[in-house]
Amino acid sequence: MAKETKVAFANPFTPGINYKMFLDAIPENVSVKDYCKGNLSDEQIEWLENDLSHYTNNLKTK
Amino acid sequence: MAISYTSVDIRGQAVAPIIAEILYENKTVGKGYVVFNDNIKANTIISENSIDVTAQLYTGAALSSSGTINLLDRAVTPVKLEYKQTFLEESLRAGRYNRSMKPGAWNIESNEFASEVLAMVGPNVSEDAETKFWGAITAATQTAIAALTPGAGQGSMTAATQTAVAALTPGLAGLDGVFAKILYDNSAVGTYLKVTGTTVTSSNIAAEFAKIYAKIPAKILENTRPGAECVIYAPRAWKQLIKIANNAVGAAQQVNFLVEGSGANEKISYNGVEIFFVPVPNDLMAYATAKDAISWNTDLVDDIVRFEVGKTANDGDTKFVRSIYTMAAHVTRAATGVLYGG
Repeated sequence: MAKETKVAFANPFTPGINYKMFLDAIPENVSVKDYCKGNLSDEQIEWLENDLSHYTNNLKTK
Repeated sequence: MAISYTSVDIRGQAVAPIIAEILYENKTVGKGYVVFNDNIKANTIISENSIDVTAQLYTGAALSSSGTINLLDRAVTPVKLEYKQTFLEESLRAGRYNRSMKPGAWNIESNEFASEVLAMVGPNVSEDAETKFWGAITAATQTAIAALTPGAGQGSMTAATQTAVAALTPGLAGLDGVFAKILYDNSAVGTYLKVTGTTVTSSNIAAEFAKIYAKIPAKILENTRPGAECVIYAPRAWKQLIKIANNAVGAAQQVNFLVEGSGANEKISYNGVEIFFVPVPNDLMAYATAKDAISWNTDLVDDIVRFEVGKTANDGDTKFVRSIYTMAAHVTRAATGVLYGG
Protein backbone atom coordinates (compact mmCIF):
# COMPACT_ATOMS: atom_id res chain seq x y z
CA MET A 1 0.00 0.00 0.00
CA ALA A 2 1.34 3.40 -1.01
CA LYS A 3 2.29 5.62 1.83
CA GLU A 4 0.14 8.77 2.02
CA THR A 5 2.10 11.94 2.46
CA LYS A 6 0.29 14.92 3.94
CA VAL A 7 1.63 18.26 2.84
CA ALA A 8 1.03 21.26 5.10
CA PHE A 9 -1.27 23.93 3.72
CA ALA A 10 0.66 26.98 2.56
CA ASN A 11 -1.50 29.74 3.96
CA PRO A 12 -1.03 32.82 1.77
CA PHE A 13 -2.14 35.07 4.62
CA THR A 14 0.76 33.91 6.76
CA PRO A 15 3.63 36.42 6.97
CA GLY A 16 6.55 35.28 4.87
CA ILE A 17 4.54 33.35 2.31
CA ASN A 18 4.38 35.26 -0.94
CA TYR A 19 2.29 34.37 -3.97
CA LYS A 20 5.10 32.54 -5.72
CA MET A 21 5.55 30.24 -2.73
CA PHE A 22 1.81 29.80 -2.43
CA LEU A 23 1.26 28.92 -6.10
CA ASP A 24 4.27 26.59 -6.08
CA ALA A 25 2.70 24.73 -3.15
CA ILE A 26 -0.53 23.99 -5.00
CA PRO A 27 -0.47 20.50 -6.55
CA GLU A 28 -0.90 20.25 -10.30
CA ASN A 29 -4.47 20.36 -11.63
CA VAL A 30 -5.81 21.70 -8.33
CA SER A 31 -7.47 25.09 -8.41
CA VAL A 32 -6.75 27.83 -5.88
CA LYS A 33 -10.32 27.53 -4.67
CA ASP A 34 -10.10 23.78 -4.12
CA TYR A 35 -6.71 24.05 -2.49
CA CYS A 36 -7.91 26.67 -0.02
CA LYS A 37 -11.31 25.15 0.72
CA GLY A 38 -11.52 24.22 4.38
CA ASN A 39 -8.48 26.28 5.23
CA LEU A 40 -9.69 29.77 4.40
CA SER A 41 -13.08 31.44 4.57
CA ASP A 42 -15.13 31.93 1.39
CA GLU A 43 -14.52 35.68 1.67
CA GLN A 44 -10.75 35.15 1.92
CA ILE A 45 -10.76 32.77 -1.05
CA GLU A 46 -12.73 35.23 -3.17
CA TRP A 47 -10.37 38.07 -2.23
CA LEU A 48 -7.34 35.88 -2.89
CA GLU A 49 -8.50 34.80 -6.34
CA ASN A 50 -9.00 38.44 -7.27
CA ASP A 51 -5.59 39.48 -5.98
CA LEU A 52 -3.89 36.53 -7.67
CA SER A 53 -5.44 37.61 -10.97
CA HIS A 54 -3.49 40.88 -10.58
CA TYR A 55 -0.35 38.89 -9.83
CA THR A 56 -0.64 36.66 -12.89
CA ASN A 57 -1.54 39.59 -15.12
CA ASN A 58 1.42 41.58 -13.81
CA LEU A 59 3.71 38.63 -14.48
CA LYS A 60 2.52 38.48 -18.09
CA THR A 61 3.36 42.11 -18.65
CA LYS A 62 6.84 41.90 -17.12
CA MET B 1 2.75 81.98 -24.28
CA ALA B 2 1.02 80.67 -21.26
CA ILE B 3 -2.16 82.70 -21.53
CA SER B 4 -4.94 80.74 -23.14
CA TYR B 5 -7.66 83.34 -23.50
CA THR B 6 -11.00 82.81 -25.21
CA SER B 7 -11.93 86.46 -25.26
CA VAL B 8 -14.85 88.55 -26.40
CA ASP B 9 -14.04 92.06 -27.60
CA ILE B 10 -15.46 94.28 -24.91
CA ARG B 11 -18.10 96.73 -26.05
CA GLY B 12 -20.30 97.27 -23.01
CA GLN B 13 -20.25 95.98 -19.46
CA ALA B 14 -18.63 92.94 -17.92
CA VAL B 15 -19.98 91.25 -14.82
CA ALA B 16 -17.69 92.18 -11.97
CA PRO B 17 -16.73 88.83 -10.47
CA ILE B 18 -14.60 86.57 -12.58
CA ILE B 19 -15.69 83.01 -11.99
CA ALA B 20 -12.67 81.31 -10.54
CA GLU B 21 -11.95 77.63 -10.69
CA ILE B 22 -12.83 75.66 -7.60
CA LEU B 23 -9.81 74.34 -5.80
CA TYR B 24 -9.28 72.03 -2.90
CA GLU B 25 -8.26 73.96 0.15
CA ASN B 26 -4.90 72.70 1.35
CA LYS B 27 -6.16 71.43 4.69
CA THR B 28 -2.96 69.52 5.35
CA VAL B 29 -1.30 72.89 5.87
CA GLY B 30 -4.34 74.98 6.76
CA LYS B 31 -5.60 72.70 9.49
CA GLY B 32 -2.33 71.12 10.48
CA TYR B 33 -3.08 67.52 9.57
CA VAL B 34 0.59 66.58 10.03
CA VAL B 35 3.72 67.84 11.74
CA PHE B 36 5.62 70.64 10.02
CA ASN B 37 9.38 70.75 10.29
CA ASP B 38 10.50 73.98 8.71
CA ASN B 39 13.77 75.84 8.41
CA ILE B 40 15.28 72.80 6.70
CA LYS B 41 17.66 73.55 3.87
CA ALA B 42 19.10 70.07 3.42
CA ASN B 43 20.26 66.94 5.17
CA THR B 44 18.30 67.24 8.37
CA ILE B 45 18.23 64.24 10.63
CA ILE B 46 14.94 62.92 11.93
CA SER B 47 15.42 60.50 14.80
CA GLU B 48 13.21 57.87 16.36
CA ASN B 49 13.87 55.82 19.42
CA SER B 50 12.29 53.01 21.35
CA ILE B 51 13.44 51.04 24.35
CA ASP B 52 12.68 47.40 25.01
CA VAL B 53 12.91 46.68 28.74
CA THR B 54 13.02 43.20 30.21
CA ALA B 55 12.37 42.36 33.84
CA GLN B 56 14.54 39.75 35.51
CA LEU B 57 14.27 38.21 38.92
CA TYR B 58 16.43 39.93 41.47
CA THR B 59 19.24 37.75 42.68
CA GLY B 60 21.56 40.19 44.37
CA ALA B 61 24.29 39.12 41.97
CA ALA B 62 25.32 40.97 38.82
CA LEU B 63 22.72 40.26 36.14
CA SER B 64 23.28 39.92 32.44
CA SER B 65 22.07 42.85 30.41
CA SER B 66 18.63 42.33 28.92
CA GLY B 67 16.68 44.67 26.66
CA THR B 68 17.56 46.94 23.79
CA ILE B 69 17.79 50.66 23.21
CA ASN B 70 16.75 51.22 19.59
CA LEU B 71 17.77 54.37 17.77
CA LEU B 72 17.00 55.25 14.19
CA ASP B 73 18.23 58.29 12.30
CA ARG B 74 17.04 59.23 8.84
CA ALA B 75 18.42 62.07 6.78
CA VAL B 76 15.80 64.20 5.09
CA THR B 77 16.61 66.57 2.26
CA PRO B 78 13.61 68.39 0.86
CA VAL B 79 13.28 68.44 -2.93
CA LYS B 80 13.24 71.93 -4.41
CA LEU B 81 10.43 72.57 -6.87
CA GLU B 82 9.67 75.48 -9.14
CA TYR B 83 6.62 76.49 -11.13
CA LYS B 84 7.16 78.97 -13.92
CA GLN B 85 4.98 80.35 -16.66
CA THR B 86 5.60 83.23 -19.00
CA PHE B 87 2.85 85.35 -20.49
CA LEU B 88 2.30 88.47 -22.53
CA GLU B 89 -0.56 90.69 -21.41
CA GLU B 90 -0.94 92.02 -24.95
CA SER B 91 -3.32 89.10 -25.50
CA LEU B 92 -5.65 90.67 -22.91
CA ARG B 93 -5.97 93.98 -24.76
CA ALA B 94 -9.14 93.14 -26.69
CA GLY B 95 -11.09 91.66 -23.78
CA ARG B 96 -12.54 92.83 -20.50
CA TYR B 97 -9.16 93.31 -18.92
CA ASN B 98 -8.41 96.38 -21.04
CA ARG B 99 -10.68 98.40 -18.73
CA SER B 100 -8.08 98.29 -16.00
CA MET B 101 -5.15 99.15 -18.28
CA LYS B 102 -3.75 102.67 -18.06
CA PRO B 103 -4.01 104.87 -21.16
CA GLY B 104 -1.15 104.64 -23.60
CA ALA B 105 0.02 101.96 -25.97
CA TRP B 106 2.88 101.14 -23.66
CA ASN B 107 0.50 100.09 -20.94
CA ILE B 108 -0.88 96.58 -21.15
CA GLU B 109 -0.81 95.76 -17.46
CA SER B 110 -4.25 94.92 -16.13
CA ASN B 111 -4.98 95.28 -12.45
CA GLU B 112 -8.02 93.08 -12.81
CA PHE B 113 -5.92 90.35 -14.38
CA ALA B 114 -3.34 90.63 -11.61
CA SER B 115 -5.79 90.62 -8.73
CA GLU B 116 -8.35 88.17 -10.04
CA VAL B 117 -6.39 85.77 -12.22
CA LEU B 118 -2.71 85.83 -11.32
CA ALA B 119 -3.65 85.79 -7.66
CA MET B 120 -4.90 82.26 -8.18
CA VAL B 121 -1.37 80.99 -8.84
CA GLY B 122 -0.71 80.70 -5.10
CA PRO B 123 -3.79 78.60 -4.28
CA ASN B 124 -3.12 76.40 -7.31
CA VAL B 125 0.46 75.75 -6.25
CA SER B 126 -0.72 75.07 -2.71
CA GLU B 127 -3.23 72.52 -3.96
CA ASP B 128 -0.59 70.87 -6.12
CA ALA B 129 1.86 70.80 -3.21
CA GLU B 130 -0.67 68.96 -1.07
CA THR B 131 -1.34 66.47 -3.86
CA LYS B 132 2.37 65.85 -4.23
CA PHE B 133 2.91 65.59 -0.48
CA TRP B 134 0.46 62.70 -0.21
CA GLY B 135 0.56 61.11 -3.64
CA ALA B 136 3.84 61.72 -5.44
CA ILE B 137 5.81 58.70 -6.50
CA THR B 138 9.11 58.49 -8.31
CA ALA B 139 9.76 56.19 -11.22
CA ALA B 140 12.44 54.51 -9.09
CA THR B 141 9.98 53.66 -6.32
CA GLN B 142 7.43 52.50 -8.84
CA THR B 143 9.99 50.17 -10.42
CA ALA B 144 11.07 48.86 -7.03
CA ILE B 145 7.46 48.10 -6.06
CA ALA B 146 6.83 46.38 -9.37
CA ALA B 147 9.79 44.10 -8.69
CA LEU B 148 8.40 42.83 -5.37
CA THR B 149 6.85 39.41 -5.16
CA PRO B 150 3.41 40.16 -3.76
CA GLY B 151 1.55 38.26 -1.08
CA ALA B 152 -1.53 38.46 1.09
CA GLY B 153 0.17 38.30 4.47
CA GLN B 154 1.72 40.88 6.73
CA GLY B 155 5.06 41.99 5.34
CA SER B 156 4.06 41.60 1.71
CA MET B 157 2.32 43.97 -0.64
CA THR B 158 -0.86 42.78 -2.34
CA ALA B 159 -0.85 42.33 -6.09
CA ALA B 160 -3.79 44.72 -6.47
CA THR B 161 -1.73 47.46 -4.82
CA GLN B 162 1.16 46.73 -7.14
CA THR B 163 -1.20 47.10 -10.08
CA ALA B 164 -2.54 50.38 -8.69
CA VAL B 165 0.97 51.73 -8.15
CA ALA B 166 1.98 50.73 -11.66
CA ALA B 167 -0.96 52.75 -12.97
CA LEU B 168 0.23 55.95 -11.32
CA THR B 169 2.08 58.54 -13.33
CA PRO B 170 5.53 58.88 -11.81
CA GLY B 171 6.49 62.39 -10.86
CA LEU B 172 9.64 64.36 -10.28
CA ALA B 173 12.84 62.59 -9.32
CA GLY B 174 13.46 62.29 -5.61
CA LEU B 175 9.95 63.21 -4.55
CA ASP B 176 8.04 60.37 -2.93
CA GLY B 177 4.86 61.35 -1.15
CA VAL B 178 3.51 59.96 2.09
CA PHE B 179 1.78 56.94 0.59
CA ALA B 180 4.78 56.02 -1.55
CA LYS B 181 6.93 56.22 1.59
CA ILE B 182 4.50 54.06 3.54
CA LEU B 183 4.51 51.42 0.81
CA TYR B 184 8.22 51.38 0.12
CA ASP B 185 10.89 53.15 2.13
CA ASN B 186 14.57 52.78 2.79
CA SER B 187 14.93 50.26 -0.08
CA ALA B 188 12.37 47.85 1.33
CA VAL B 189 8.66 47.22 1.47
CA GLY B 190 7.07 49.28 4.23
CA THR B 191 6.70 47.89 7.70
CA TYR B 192 3.06 48.97 7.95
CA LEU B 193 0.42 46.89 9.66
CA LYS B 194 -1.50 45.52 6.73
CA VAL B 195 -5.24 45.41 6.19
CA THR B 196 -6.11 43.92 2.82
CA GLY B 197 -8.37 46.19 0.86
CA THR B 198 -11.19 45.88 -1.59
CA THR B 199 -13.25 48.29 -3.67
CA VAL B 200 -14.76 50.61 -1.10
CA THR B 201 -18.41 51.52 -1.59
CA SER B 202 -21.05 53.14 0.58
CA SER B 203 -22.26 49.63 1.42
CA ASN B 204 -18.99 48.29 2.77
CA ILE B 205 -17.18 51.41 3.98
CA ALA B 206 -18.26 50.94 7.59
CA ALA B 207 -17.07 47.33 7.56
CA GLU B 208 -13.76 48.32 5.98
CA PHE B 209 -13.22 51.04 8.60
CA ALA B 210 -13.94 48.46 11.26
CA LYS B 211 -11.04 46.40 9.88
CA ILE B 212 -8.73 49.42 10.03
CA TYR B 213 -9.87 50.31 13.53
CA ALA B 214 -9.43 46.76 14.79
CA LYS B 215 -5.84 46.69 13.54
CA ILE B 216 -4.72 49.93 15.20
CA PRO B 217 -2.39 49.13 18.11
CA ALA B 218 -4.20 49.86 21.36
CA LYS B 219 -1.39 52.08 22.61
CA ILE B 220 -1.76 54.32 19.55
CA LEU B 221 -5.50 54.57 20.15
CA GLU B 222 -5.04 55.25 23.83
CA ASN B 223 -2.47 57.97 23.31
CA THR B 224 -4.17 61.24 24.17
CA ARG B 225 -1.10 63.46 24.10
CA PRO B 226 -2.14 66.60 22.18
CA GLY B 227 -0.86 66.43 18.64
CA ALA B 228 -0.23 62.71 18.79
CA GLU B 229 -3.81 61.45 18.73
CA CYS B 230 -4.63 58.60 16.39
CA VAL B 231 -6.16 59.74 13.10
CA ILE B 232 -7.12 58.05 9.86
CA TYR B 233 -6.02 59.61 6.58
CA ALA B 234 -8.54 58.61 3.93
CA PRO B 235 -9.25 59.53 0.31
CA ARG B 236 -11.40 62.61 -0.21
CA ALA B 237 -13.81 60.58 -2.32
CA TRP B 238 -14.65 58.45 0.70
CA LYS B 239 -16.30 61.34 2.50
CA GLN B 240 -19.30 61.04 0.21
CA LEU B 241 -19.41 57.29 0.72
CA ILE B 242 -19.34 57.82 4.48
CA LYS B 243 -22.25 60.22 4.37
CA ILE B 244 -24.24 57.96 2.09
CA ALA B 245 -23.51 55.07 4.46
CA ASN B 246 -24.93 57.12 7.29
CA ASN B 247 -28.09 57.87 5.34
CA ALA B 248 -28.85 54.73 3.35
CA VAL B 249 -32.11 55.20 1.46
CA GLY B 250 -34.95 53.15 2.88
CA ALA B 251 -32.91 51.83 5.75
CA ALA B 252 -33.09 52.65 9.40
CA GLN B 253 -30.70 55.45 10.32
CA GLN B 254 -27.24 53.98 10.86
CA VAL B 255 -24.72 56.27 12.42
CA ASN B 256 -21.58 54.37 11.53
CA PHE B 257 -19.57 57.55 11.38
CA LEU B 258 -20.00 60.59 13.58
CA VAL B 259 -20.38 63.78 11.57
CA GLU B 260 -20.17 66.92 13.68
CA GLY B 261 -20.51 70.49 12.48
CA SER B 262 -20.71 71.53 8.87
CA GLY B 263 -18.78 73.39 6.24
CA ALA B 264 -15.29 74.43 7.30
CA ASN B 265 -15.90 73.17 10.83
CA GLU B 266 -17.04 69.71 9.86
CA LYS B 267 -15.41 66.86 11.72
CA ILE B 268 -15.94 63.22 10.85
CA SER B 269 -14.82 60.38 13.05
CA TYR B 270 -15.11 56.62 13.36
CA ASN B 271 -15.25 55.22 16.89
CA GLY B 272 -13.70 58.42 18.17
CA VAL B 273 -10.85 58.45 15.65
CA GLU B 274 -10.94 61.56 13.47
CA ILE B 275 -10.76 61.05 9.73
CA PHE B 276 -8.71 63.49 7.65
CA PHE B 277 -9.56 63.48 3.97
CA VAL B 278 -6.48 63.92 1.82
CA PRO B 279 -5.51 63.39 -1.82
CA VAL B 280 -4.72 59.67 -1.74
CA PRO B 281 -3.49 58.29 -5.06
CA ASN B 282 -6.18 56.22 -6.79
CA ASP B 283 -8.51 56.63 -3.79
CA LEU B 284 -7.61 53.07 -2.76
CA MET B 285 -5.68 53.38 0.47
CA ALA B 286 -6.16 54.76 3.96
CA TYR B 287 -3.64 55.08 6.75
CA ALA B 288 -4.18 55.17 10.49
CA THR B 289 -1.41 56.48 12.69
CA ALA B 290 -0.54 59.00 15.37
CA LYS B 291 -0.93 62.50 13.99
CA ASP B 292 2.69 63.37 14.71
CA ALA B 293 4.06 60.39 12.79
CA ILE B 294 3.84 62.13 9.42
CA SER B 295 5.91 65.20 8.77
CA TRP B 296 6.01 67.85 6.06
CA ASN B 297 9.63 68.93 5.88
CA THR B 298 10.42 72.19 4.18
CA ASP B 299 12.35 75.42 4.30
CA LEU B 300 9.36 77.66 4.91
CA VAL B 301 5.78 76.37 4.91
CA ASP B 302 4.44 79.64 3.48
CA ASP B 303 6.58 79.22 0.36
CA ILE B 304 3.79 77.23 -1.26
CA VAL B 305 1.54 80.28 -1.50
CA ARG B 306 4.21 82.79 -2.49
CA PHE B 307 4.81 83.69 -6.10
CA GLU B 308 6.75 86.32 -7.91
CA VAL B 309 5.76 88.20 -11.06
CA GLY B 310 8.25 90.13 -13.16
CA LYS B 311 9.49 90.91 -16.64
CA THR B 312 11.67 88.29 -18.30
CA ALA B 313 13.69 91.07 -19.98
CA ASN B 314 13.69 94.84 -19.97
CA ASP B 315 13.49 95.12 -23.73
CA GLY B 316 10.22 93.18 -23.99
CA ASP B 317 6.86 92.90 -22.26
CA THR B 318 6.82 89.16 -21.64
CA LYS B 319 6.40 88.44 -17.96
CA PHE B 320 6.97 85.43 -15.75
CA VAL B 321 5.21 84.11 -12.68
CA ARG B 322 7.26 81.79 -10.47
CA SER B 323 6.76 79.85 -7.29
CA ILE B 324 9.47 77.97 -5.46
CA TYR B 325 9.28 75.72 -2.45
CA THR B 326 10.96 72.67 -0.98
CA MET B 327 9.26 69.60 0.36
CA ALA B 328 9.93 66.13 1.70
CA ALA B 329 7.40 63.77 3.22
CA HIS B 330 8.55 61.59 6.06
CA VAL B 331 6.81 58.82 7.96
CA THR B 332 7.98 57.81 11.40
CA ARG B 333 6.89 54.91 13.60
CA ALA B 334 5.94 53.18 10.35
CA ALA B 335 5.60 49.80 12.04
CA THR B 336 2.67 51.01 14.12
CA GLY B 337 0.78 52.61 11.23
CA VAL B 338 -2.13 50.70 9.72
CA LEU B 339 -2.31 50.74 5.94
CA TYR B 340 -5.61 49.76 4.38
CA GLY B 341 -5.14 48.49 0.85
CA GLY B 342 -1.44 47.80 1.15
